[in-house]
Amino acid sequence: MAVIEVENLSKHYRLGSIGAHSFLQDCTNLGRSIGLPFKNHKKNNIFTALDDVSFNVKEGDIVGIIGHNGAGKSTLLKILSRITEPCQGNATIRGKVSSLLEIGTGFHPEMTGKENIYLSGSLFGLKKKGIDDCYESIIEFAQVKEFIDTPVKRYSSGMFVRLAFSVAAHLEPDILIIDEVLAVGDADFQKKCITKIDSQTKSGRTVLIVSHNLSLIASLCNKVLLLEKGKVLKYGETDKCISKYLSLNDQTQFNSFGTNNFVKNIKLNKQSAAKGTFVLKINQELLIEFNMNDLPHNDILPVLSFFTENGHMVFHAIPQYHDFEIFNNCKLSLNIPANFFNNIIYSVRLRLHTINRKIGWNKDNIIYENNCLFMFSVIEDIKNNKNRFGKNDSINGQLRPIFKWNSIENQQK
Amino acid sequence: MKKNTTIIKAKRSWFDLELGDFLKYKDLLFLLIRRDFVTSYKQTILGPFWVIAQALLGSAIFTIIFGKIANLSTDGHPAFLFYLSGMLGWQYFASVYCVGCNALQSNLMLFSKVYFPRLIPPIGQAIFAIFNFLIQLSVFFTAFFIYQKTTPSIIFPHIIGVLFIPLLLLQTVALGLGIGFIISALSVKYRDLSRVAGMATQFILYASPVIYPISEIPEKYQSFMAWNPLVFIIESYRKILLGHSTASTLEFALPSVGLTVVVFFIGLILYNKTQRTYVDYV
Repeated sequence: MAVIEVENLSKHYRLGSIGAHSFLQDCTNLGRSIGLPFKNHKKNNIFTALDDVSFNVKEGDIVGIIGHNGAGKSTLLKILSRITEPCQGNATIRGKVSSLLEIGTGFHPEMTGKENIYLSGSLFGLKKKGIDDCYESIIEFAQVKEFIDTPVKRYSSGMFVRLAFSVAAHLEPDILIIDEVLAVGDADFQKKCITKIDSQTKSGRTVLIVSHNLSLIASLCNKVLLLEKGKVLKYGETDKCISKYLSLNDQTQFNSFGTNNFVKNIKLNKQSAAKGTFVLKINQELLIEFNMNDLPHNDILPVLSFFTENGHMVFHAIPQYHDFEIFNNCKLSLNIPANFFNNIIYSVRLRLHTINRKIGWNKDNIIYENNCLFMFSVIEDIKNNKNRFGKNDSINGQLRPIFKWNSIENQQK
Repeated sequence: MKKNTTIIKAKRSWFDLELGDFLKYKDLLFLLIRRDFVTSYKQTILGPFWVIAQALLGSAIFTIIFGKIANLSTDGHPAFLFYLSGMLGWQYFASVYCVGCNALQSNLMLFSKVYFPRLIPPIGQAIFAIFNFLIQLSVFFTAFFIYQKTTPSIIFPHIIGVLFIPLLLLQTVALGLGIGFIISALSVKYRDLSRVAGMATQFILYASPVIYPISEIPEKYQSFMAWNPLVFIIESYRKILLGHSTASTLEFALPSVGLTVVVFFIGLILYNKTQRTYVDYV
């Protein structure tokens, strides 16, 4: 049964500042609504944050909501958490909802940890008795037992965040709505949150989560809602939605100079990269192919550079020395073995350098650059990947190559 | 699972006040009152003593300026007690009115992050303000009995009267929050009104019989004064605590209570309508 049904939800905002001019508009609107002959304003100063959004969420689904900034993700969460009202449409939610739009909502710095646990818990709709029941467990999870009667303004920021998250983690709602809260805190803390959320989802809880962290979404969610300019662009399988989202990036973040015609027919594992962003299974090889045509020079060195989603350089793929002469007007391919990447998202830059065999190659002689030739998302079946030895959460690192380990004879023999 | 179904829809009725949720969150109400308690006297040495000092000092200043220098009538009551009793009703109204005026604005941080019935914080603060009222009341009683020691002709009116004080408090809450809610709701979009709210406090003070008795007003204007709901409230405190007053009659009570009910419901409906989309305007 659908626990969340959203039908034709729309939300508009009026642009521009509020002042004497908008007051005049309000007055004429009011006048028109009671039948006075005022002219209707042009509606060109209306911003549509959500435009006719409909979707259903089934019980136990973990839905990731992705989209660019301004796509309407936060507006949707605000409406579903009843912080603001839609302009059109309706939503039906069956079950107790807790929405974590922020860590530490309702915490008062002057009050002690204990008082804040009760205040924050009751803001989220818990009864006093319900908080009594999980009070010990909240303190234990937050590791603040000895400071519990100290005002939280004297807490270190780490302690504060731990306590705040701990309260949030013990809400035990039927439906949990989370907005980017995981973006705060250090890596350790994020890991703890994810583990906690993961354990919550296993208990049949329905979760809606907004995040820009696509690898988190990919590993956590079984469904994704992709919003673009207030509309639902795609709703369904995680891989397909992520790849659709990344293909939007290709168009919007396209950034190249030189003539595009130099490089054509980019294919990834025989599929055209122009179609959308590629999803690669972690135990799959990656075959990159492209054509180079009409190059103005003979000695061209192509360099593919791999970056993480956050823009960190991972490695350059530079051709071997002996074969660069053959690169003009030809089809190139590059093969990257399976079990080499980590389960994150990579973007790939292509630069074509002209080569002077005496000086070598440098930044001054780039004739073509495409900062986002394509992006690809590496996905992994975490539960069934034996190479993880049962580790369920994320494994850090920009790459995760599997090398061959050999057991050597016991030397003490 | 079905018991918790929430329906979110556009264009709800103006009269949908979400009162059903209010009961579910009653623990929150107590915790917010407790928060106000804990935080208002944190890091002060004298704590609630400041309320006593304020009441004594205020009445002393009024006694000197309006009683001795301006020589205003105090309806035959000792001047100090007259002003103390006037301040009692006025101060409580002023603090509830202030709560109402800032109901949306001061809770922005919470309202923009989590849903709970938006009436809870202002009602909690209005209840918390009763604490200060009780301190002031005990100041009055102490002063009264000290006066009685020196001038035995002063007798405390019937003790039954004190039982009506909760009713007066209830009316004050309804009136203060009602006016405050209207101002708070209307100043969300246009903040001009919040400027007016501050000036209005001064105006209401002088339009109400805090520093003068209503008997000083020429009789032909008295029925006009009855339309200020505070006239009945403040004069009633005098009737209860000092024995007699002019405006604690049915002719004053009816317009006062009637107007309070109307203002309260207008305020409640406006406040409730505004809070639904409040975060979009700030």
